[in-house]
Amino acid sequence: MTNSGLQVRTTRQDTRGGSQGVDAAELIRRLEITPEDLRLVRSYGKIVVPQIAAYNTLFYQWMERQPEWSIFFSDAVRLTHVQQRQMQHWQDLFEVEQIDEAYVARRVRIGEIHARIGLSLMAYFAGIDHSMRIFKHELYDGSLSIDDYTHVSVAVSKLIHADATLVLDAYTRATSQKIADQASALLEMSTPVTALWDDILMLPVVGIIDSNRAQDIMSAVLRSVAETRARIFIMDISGVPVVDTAVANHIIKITRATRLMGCQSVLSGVSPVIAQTMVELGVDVGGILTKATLRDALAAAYEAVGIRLVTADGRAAGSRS
Amino acid sequence: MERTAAFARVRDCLVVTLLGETTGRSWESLRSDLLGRLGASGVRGVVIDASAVAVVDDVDGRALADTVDMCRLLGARALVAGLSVEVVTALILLDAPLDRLEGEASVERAIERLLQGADDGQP
Repeated sequence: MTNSGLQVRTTRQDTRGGSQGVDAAELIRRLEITPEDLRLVRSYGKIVVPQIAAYNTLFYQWMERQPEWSIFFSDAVRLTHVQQRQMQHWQDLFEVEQIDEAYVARRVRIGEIHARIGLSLMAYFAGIDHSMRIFKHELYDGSLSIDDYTHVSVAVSKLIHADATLVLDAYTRATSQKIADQASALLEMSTPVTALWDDILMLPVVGIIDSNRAQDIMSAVLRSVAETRARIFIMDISGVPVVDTAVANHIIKITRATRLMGCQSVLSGVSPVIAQTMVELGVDVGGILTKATLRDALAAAYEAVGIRLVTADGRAAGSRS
Repeated sequence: MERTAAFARVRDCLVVTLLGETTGRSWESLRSDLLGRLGASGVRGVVIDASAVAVVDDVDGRALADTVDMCRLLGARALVAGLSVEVVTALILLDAPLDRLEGEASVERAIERLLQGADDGQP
């Protein structure tokens, strides 16, 4: 692939690396988590952590009835492993001393795992909700006053919301990374400059042309032109849905660049709509050779490089008349 | 003064080979030299061989376009030969006035095209 393609990809990775998720201090500030909240959560932890095995049993009784059960927990070893991790996870929450980067990293990790295995957010939130019901009702021994219980409840909610924020963030980042990867893969596939004949290159452009892609197209085309010393470059834009001023300018730049290297560009696949927009936008189309169809462009290309097609019995081929 | 261009007469064409880095000043002396020779010799075409040029700035882009225009005024068609991919990309990114600039892959091909006549290669 072209050098510029590689550069584009590395830049994208850099920007991704720059925004490494949610910051612990920011999370504490936004959710207004106080040391008092953490103390309340820990005090409630003294009630529920000893019963964590009971939580596990209750949760997986519920989990068995969920549609995800058969997909994710068919393997007994895996099930035990996940259960261990989950109990640790809750213990971590109920014994929290302070919300620091390490705590955040552990929570984010959970989100990343969920995102990677493709667990839906609906299933995740249903699980959280059910866990809360177990912790707040089924495992509650009634030892707190109503006031204390309310305070505890608010504090626990804050930590749960912090969790949800981190998990959602991890989900979002996993998804946008997937999209970015796909986009760069698509970009690499999107500039197949082909030699149609001696001296004739062709590139079918499908999809939207933005400046990134125009840059990619240009370097791919110029490289091919330099390599093959082609005289004609046909750019077929029948697969380009919209041509606005920016796209038209990109196209003109590409044609100018090839002309500097001794290669005439022919634009083909210009639809009536695109012809109309280009003229209405005031794009200077005087210098570009354009054809309505790829067939016409090819005929023009043959003519330009001095090839005449004849049928086996010597008649001129390819003429429409 | 350092020489920035070499001239050669090939058949009916004048070949100007750019040597190394160019500046606004060197372009000026190159141009007067070139146009002087052009007026005297009555050649049909000019080939500006830029294959030794590795770096360009916007001054070069404009100077190149101006030189081509001036040649045209003296009745000779001018082509730029041997531009590298990097130089072309740079000229495009610099938004150089390239509308009237025409190139060829090599000096040989440029001469061929110039001698074939003005009708070739035009849209």
